[in-house]
Amino acid sequence: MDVKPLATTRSATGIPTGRLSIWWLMASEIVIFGGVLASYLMHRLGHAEFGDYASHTNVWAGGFNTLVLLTSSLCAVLAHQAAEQGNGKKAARLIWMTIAGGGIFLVVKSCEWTYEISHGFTLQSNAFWHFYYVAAGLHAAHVIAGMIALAIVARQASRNEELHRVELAGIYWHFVDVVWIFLFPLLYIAK
Amino acid sequence: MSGHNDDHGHHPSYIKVYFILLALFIVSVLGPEIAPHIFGPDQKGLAQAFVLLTAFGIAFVKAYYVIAYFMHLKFEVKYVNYMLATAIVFMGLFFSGVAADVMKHEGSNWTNVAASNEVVRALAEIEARDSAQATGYANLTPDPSSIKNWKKLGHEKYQAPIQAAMLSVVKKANGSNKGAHFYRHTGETTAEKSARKAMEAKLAVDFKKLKAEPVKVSKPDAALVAAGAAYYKTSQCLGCHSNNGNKLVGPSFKGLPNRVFYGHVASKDGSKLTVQRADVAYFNASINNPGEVVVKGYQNQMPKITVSDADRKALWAYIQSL
Repeated sequence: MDVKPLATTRSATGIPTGRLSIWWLMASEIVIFGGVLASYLMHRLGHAEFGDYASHTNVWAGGFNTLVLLTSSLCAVLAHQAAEQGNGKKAARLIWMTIAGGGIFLVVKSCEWTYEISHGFTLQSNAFWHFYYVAAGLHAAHVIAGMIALAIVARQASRNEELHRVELAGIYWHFVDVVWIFLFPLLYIAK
Repeated sequence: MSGHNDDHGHHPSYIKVYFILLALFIVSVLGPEIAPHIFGPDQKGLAQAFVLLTAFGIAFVKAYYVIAYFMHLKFEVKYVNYMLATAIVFMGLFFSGVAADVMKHEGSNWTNVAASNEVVRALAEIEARDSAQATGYANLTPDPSSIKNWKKLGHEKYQAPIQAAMLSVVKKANGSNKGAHFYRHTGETTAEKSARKAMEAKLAVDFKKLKAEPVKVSKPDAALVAAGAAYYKTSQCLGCHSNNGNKLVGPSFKGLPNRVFYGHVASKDGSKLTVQRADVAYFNASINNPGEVVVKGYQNQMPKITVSDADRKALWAYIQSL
């Protein structure tokens, strides 16, 4: 085994450094998504017409995507469990399932957007659609980034390398799930 | 690192957490769907609270389960919680700092003109769209010929779901189920339709009144009747007006005198329906200007014919004798 950098092997904080950095990342993500969601919520409360605009979004597509992300989160946490047991192959397999969940999510999302844009609901239609595309787009960008990170971790895990990273990528993926848990009622259900 | 491995020992089964999340998810989707069925239109506040609770309250519970058990925050060292809480507090600061400006469009010394104008404009636009749709649905009336075509084309099996969908639309718009099979648009707005109905009701009353009025009938002179019959047989009248009650291009002469009828009067904005009595004045007016009052159910195709006063008198006598 090659020599590890100091940050990976030493912990003066009580938890592995990698995990601490992921939590810092989460703290910064809270501000990013929290800012978008809070702004949306404030505008939603100040604009009675948003309710009508929100009724044009597809609850069933959004609901299906919630289901997909919840399931992919389960796969991610089961991968973490497998990695803890030292079973890198199983962890890698479960991570690929998580990535597949992200893929399904993006396919459904692009179908939704195609439908909405072709029906004249674009980024510039009004403030609601602006929020819709910015919030969901930022979230989708995080899904894509998470899929890439998970793919790298899955390759390493399948060789039984860096198994602790499975948990770290998983934490990030769960956060993406949590963001969607709030986006879904805000953009789809609140009419 | 001693605490870390121990902490991960006693979390609940991930599958169990997943099923809790699924159950919560189902409630959060169904809540807003069933809210209008549970609460009446007068309980809007309650319905809104119900939706908020099922959609957003449950979102927080779901987020808790994911964060606590999938992200293991519940088993993480304490200060990570404080780190995340700090970020949320900053978020809250941002929220409370700008909320007053964003959520309200008017303060004691300021007005957000653009935002409040946009709300007014958007709500007016939505209302106009909704009322246009309601007008459209209100004018759906049964069209039997379209059913026939539909069946002929072999689309019968698709009819039931379409019919059900149309019925629900009509029911929604009219508040009642008309039970019709297929619908087309009459081209009338709701206001026009009710105005027409009111006019028809008024005409029916006029019709009855006019019919009840006594009419003085004198027996026509026999010589005039004979002259009229001779004129009728040689004139162009008989092409369109029968003397035995048969319906030709125009109404029959038999039974014509003093009959009360519905007639269309041509006016600038389309034709108007009236009630008239076919007396001698109408008989003369119809010869002078055939299109003036057209009997309902007929099209005016009568040319202007020059008939002398003597011939008119004879013809009228003949018509009265039929």
